[in-house]
Amino acid sequence: MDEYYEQLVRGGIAPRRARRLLTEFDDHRADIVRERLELGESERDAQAAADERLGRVQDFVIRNLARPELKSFSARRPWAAFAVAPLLAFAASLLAAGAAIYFLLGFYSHVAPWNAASRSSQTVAAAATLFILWIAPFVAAASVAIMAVGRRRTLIWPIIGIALISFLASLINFQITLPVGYVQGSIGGGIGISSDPAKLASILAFTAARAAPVLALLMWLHSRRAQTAVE
Amino acid sequence: MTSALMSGVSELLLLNLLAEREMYGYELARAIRTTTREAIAVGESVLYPTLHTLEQRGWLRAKRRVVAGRTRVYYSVTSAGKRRLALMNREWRRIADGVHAALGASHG
Repeated sequence: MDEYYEQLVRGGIAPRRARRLLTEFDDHRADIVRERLELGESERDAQAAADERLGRVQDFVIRNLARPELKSFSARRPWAAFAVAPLLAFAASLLAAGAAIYFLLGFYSHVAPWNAASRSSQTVAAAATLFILWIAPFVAAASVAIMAVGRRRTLIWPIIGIALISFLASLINFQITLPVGYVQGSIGGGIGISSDPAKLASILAFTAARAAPVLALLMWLHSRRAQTAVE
Repeated sequence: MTSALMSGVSELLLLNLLAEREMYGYELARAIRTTTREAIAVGESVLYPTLHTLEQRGWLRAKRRVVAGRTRVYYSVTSAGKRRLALMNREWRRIADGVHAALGASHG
């Protein structure tokens, strides 16, 4: 059934639906065979009856592919599924992560020493910054890559989506200032672009640095999938 | 019978049968054969694309259930499906009455 699953997914049917369609077909066939065996037919005749009633799996696949309404959202609107929606989801998740970090650090400052001299405070602040600026964009962009390869889509829109997420992440400013003595600490975040060529070059360099590992992952997953399909 | 009309008939039959109780594909195929006294045979391989289309349109709901050690996908009609069924029933009666009237006139 792997071959037919590949055909359905490549034709734009969502992996979950493709699996379900093939399972239902298989179960239906088994039910027909059982029914005929119970009527006293031989295994061979029962199999032939199932083939006659259900037809070939290939025809079943073609019938499903002929229905545009069964195609997934990502097949019908790849630009939205792999570029616009992930970018918006990433922006929303950044806001949520920023708020979560604010509240978690507030809680942390009550249970452990929270100042610039404390090693653990420095580690927590560095980890939160690393998460916002590098880990969250990587996870968001990698999700686009994994989803695109899983759905056997062409790579153009996922590449654009990964580039947009990496670019947005490079526009973000996020810093945690730890308290020193009586001077209170702060958490700051924002987004901005500069017309200064040096800063612009730095933004593009960071975009490339963020996008490169995810694009490498995308290419690796894609080539592995292609290899599996050939085998 | 044209395929468009047959497609409408199979949709009507499926919604009608599933409005009575939830069923899985094989059960439905048998119910169609029985209730139509084998007059209408919805191709069994056409059944699933049709069921999935109706589900996609929000008229059916699919639920996995383990029965006698086997996982089955049971289909049932949603409230939107019930409204659709009522509309299709009215349409079908209107067409059937029209055809009856026309046949009656040509034979009378």
